[in-house]
Amino acid sequence: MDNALHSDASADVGAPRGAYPTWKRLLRPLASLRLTVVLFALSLILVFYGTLAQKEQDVWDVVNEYFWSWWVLIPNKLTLLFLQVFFNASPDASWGLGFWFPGGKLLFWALLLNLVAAHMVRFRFSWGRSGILLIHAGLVMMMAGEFVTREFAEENVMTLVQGGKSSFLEITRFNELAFTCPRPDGQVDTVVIPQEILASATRSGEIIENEALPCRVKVLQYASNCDLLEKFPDGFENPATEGEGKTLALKAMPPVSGVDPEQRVNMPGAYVQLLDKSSGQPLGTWLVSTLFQLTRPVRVQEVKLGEGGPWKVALRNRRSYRPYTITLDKFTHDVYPGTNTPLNFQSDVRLEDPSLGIDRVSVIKMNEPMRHAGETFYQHQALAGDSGSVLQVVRNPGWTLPYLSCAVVSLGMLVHFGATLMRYMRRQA
Amino acid sequence: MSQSKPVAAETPPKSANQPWWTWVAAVVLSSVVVLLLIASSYRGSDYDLDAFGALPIQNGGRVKPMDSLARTSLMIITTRTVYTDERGRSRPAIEWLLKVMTSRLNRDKAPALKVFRIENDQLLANLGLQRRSGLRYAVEEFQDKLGLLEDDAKRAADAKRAGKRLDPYQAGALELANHLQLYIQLATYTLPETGIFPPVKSAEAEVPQADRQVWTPFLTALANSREGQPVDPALEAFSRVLGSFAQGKPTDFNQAVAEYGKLMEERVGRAVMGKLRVEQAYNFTNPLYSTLVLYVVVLLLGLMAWLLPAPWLRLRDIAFSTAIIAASLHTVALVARMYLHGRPPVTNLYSSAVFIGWGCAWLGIFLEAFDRRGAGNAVAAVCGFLSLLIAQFLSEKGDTLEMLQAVLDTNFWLATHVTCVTLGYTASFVAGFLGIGYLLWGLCTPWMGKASGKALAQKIYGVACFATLLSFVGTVLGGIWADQSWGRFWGWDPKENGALLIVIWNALILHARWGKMVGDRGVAALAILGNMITAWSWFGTNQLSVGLHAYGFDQTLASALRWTWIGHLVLVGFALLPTEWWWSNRAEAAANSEPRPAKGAIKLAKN
Repeated sequence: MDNALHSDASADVGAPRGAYPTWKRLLRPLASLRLTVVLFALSLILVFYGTLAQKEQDVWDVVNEYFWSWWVLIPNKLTLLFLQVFFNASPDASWGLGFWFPGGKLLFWALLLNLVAAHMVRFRFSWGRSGILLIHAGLVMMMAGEFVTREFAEENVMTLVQGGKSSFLEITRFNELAFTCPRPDGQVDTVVIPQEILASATRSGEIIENEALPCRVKVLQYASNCDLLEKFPDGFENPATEGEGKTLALKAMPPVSGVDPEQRVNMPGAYVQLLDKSSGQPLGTWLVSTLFQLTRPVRVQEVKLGEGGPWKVALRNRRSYRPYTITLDKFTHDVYPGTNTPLNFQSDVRLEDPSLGIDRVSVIKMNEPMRHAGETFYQHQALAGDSGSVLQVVRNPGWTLPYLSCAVVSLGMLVHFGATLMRYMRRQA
Repeated sequence: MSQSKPVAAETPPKSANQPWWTWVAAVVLSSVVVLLLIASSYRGSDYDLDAFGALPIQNGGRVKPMDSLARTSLMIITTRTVYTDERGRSRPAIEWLLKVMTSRLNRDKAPALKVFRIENDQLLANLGLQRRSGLRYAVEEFQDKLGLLEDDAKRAADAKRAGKRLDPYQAGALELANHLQLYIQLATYTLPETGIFPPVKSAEAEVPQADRQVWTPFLTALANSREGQPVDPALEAFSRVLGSFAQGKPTDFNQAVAEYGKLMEERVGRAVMGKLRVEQAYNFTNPLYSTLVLYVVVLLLGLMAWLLPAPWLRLRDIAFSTAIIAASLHTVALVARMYLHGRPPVTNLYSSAVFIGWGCAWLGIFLEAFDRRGAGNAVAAVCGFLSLLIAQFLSEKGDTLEMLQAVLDTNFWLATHVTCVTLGYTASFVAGFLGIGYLLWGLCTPWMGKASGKALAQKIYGVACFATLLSFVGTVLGGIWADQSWGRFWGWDPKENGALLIVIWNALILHARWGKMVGDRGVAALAILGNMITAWSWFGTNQLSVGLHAYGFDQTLASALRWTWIGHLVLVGFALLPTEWWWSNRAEAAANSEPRPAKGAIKLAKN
């Protein structure tokens, strides 16, 4: 082959040692193609196990544990799982423990180092090698894009009911217990307790107190994912004394697994006991859950808390307010004729942004997002009974990088492999 | 390196040397094969079954000819598109459908047809059936055991819902129960997602939109007529069709079908009816089956050319021409499917198999065109045959022109990302099969010379380059599609990861070769391993039943994968045998009594 970049140390044995500066000699082991191949093989194994792990774990957990970590402990039960699915291993077998393996971050940096070192040690520009340069430059760009996405991208949702409007995004991966009370001027007094505090207060059993809160809060049970049962299970002692909890029972669920086809997210729930702010007297125990947001009409729980009020209490997604307002004029859910197979989901929306002087209507549907102010709005889900639409709102400052890098790498491959093919065909002719 | 050395010793034969009569021979041979296949599927009848088969029905979200409904249903139940009638004759699916649809008017016919394929021995025993060749049974043979079957199937369904793995008996019982359900739904006109009567075309609609509207199911039309609403003339006409068939009056039947057909044409328009006839003709001629047989012919011709003495070498040219004809027929079938579906070639697992076979065939032919030593031809034939066999198996699951989920409803991305990724799979498979060829040729025959071995290894390398390009571009296009449809370029979805594995693996092969870590044999061995990874991405990830691209677990596929992997591991094991054990090397070493003969060769010489 003509490319010196890819001839390994062995090919250069003939060259006198003194011809290389010391830094090149030091970098040489790092620049080895052997290392590249080993790293590829390790990546292969990591991706394979990272796929298997999704059988039981939430995809975000897998990404954090396998692909955005330095090391990962791969449990042996994944190997067993593979054998069970494909090699009829006994479904009752259980394999404990696991083995440590380099994580995605480590492999990424090692590959990058390897690549940079290779180019530094053996770099010599020629047209014959321009393809290889393009490929590698594009790959670095792509990895940079993934890094930017990981570090800076935000994925939120906006829920809109038919005819309704909204000017805030919901951050579905974070939740908060919110106390809200409307003021005469139309604004809403809002005090929130983030989920981390709820979770830690559950573990320690301590009572949450704060100047801004209209009451004291004791969390009796907190489930990071839950279901609500309309029929109480046998032997169930209902902690709830007020509100929806009197007729619904909380059932803790395991976190959602993998990227399941329905793209479900965790739906937390909790039993919270509210205590009088000054006396500490119990006022009652309420059941709260983000599932209440999804019912139509939304289940609203009012609580009487001393002066002022009435306050509303709800467990809801953390919110992020925006200067613009989106109105859902119409939501369409088409099916193939005579079936329930969805053909199209479409939200006809109106976007108003006084800060930019924008007032326009727009259509958001599958594969056709709307872009505005650095954010992209995708058709995500339908609310129960097609009563509204859920938009996925993504802000990703690096969204152009994959497009660019794809073009660069593809061009590089075309140049390089095209040249190889031309040479081959010329020889055959 | 290799390129600098002239390979004059074994200059590959040039295509220009192929005499014209080999082409004639190939055309004649292929035509005879295809015509024989088509002729053998023709079955005459006093009833105008063709006209009935072309009638429209709305099912599963699309308007299709009755013929397609009949074939897919029978395929599901009996794994063939023909059935054996009471007198032991092989008869077309459409006749079976007619018998089933008229079974309530003519009770003794349909239940007596031996169509239900039951493979599990325990299930056969429980149903009081004897094992017989073909394993096909009639409902009336196990009618009295239906209660037992229902109980077992219900239990199996519960276990499946609870995520448990079914044993072969449970799986068999559940499958049979599902087949019975399909049969009953056809017999009682309760098949879900199905309408028979298109709405009457309104006067103002210029373009008939009947294929976009919901059609009236038979029972609804019947109920409407009983409630005193005006009777749909289509209902009357269709009832006449069924009635005359049940009474055994071919002349009346033919007339009723013609009348009903005219009525349908008024409602759905000529264009739709024409398309249905194309689909019916496609079903009847079954070009992919002919293609599959032709690939076998190519393989046999190639083997003969290889094994027979020199005068027969022209068979290789005939094999090459036949391969081109087979691949052309494959192309015709692919284009016909695209026309019928109105979609790019790959939309589901079935069509991916058809497409991969198509790509492999043309890639193999391309390789053969440059180097006529039979390797490309062999890969074209073997890959074409295997992938169409897989497609044949997948077609037992139901309609292969099924409708797409909303997120997939985009011809642009189907045409770019899906096609590209599938071509990446294709090239990886071609490299893998060339690798297998290299191994078998070198290890098991004495005929792989140094130069020809080098040439083959170079092909593997070239195809791996191609595979890297396609799988990379395809994977990234998938990322861009994901970015367009839900704002996430890369989601670590199992199927995405599968594509990534193929990219990494091909990159590994290329870098290992560039770094001189592997030679020709090593590249071949790595390419063989590549088949395992491609098989994982294509079918394995689906078996995990997670992810946006998943189609669900299937026992047969899982065990097919298992044996594919085991087989390939064995092959790689053989590839790792010391080179001096390879027959070709021993033969060459024996031939060159020159210096440094290999150890094995000395032993061979002594023996």
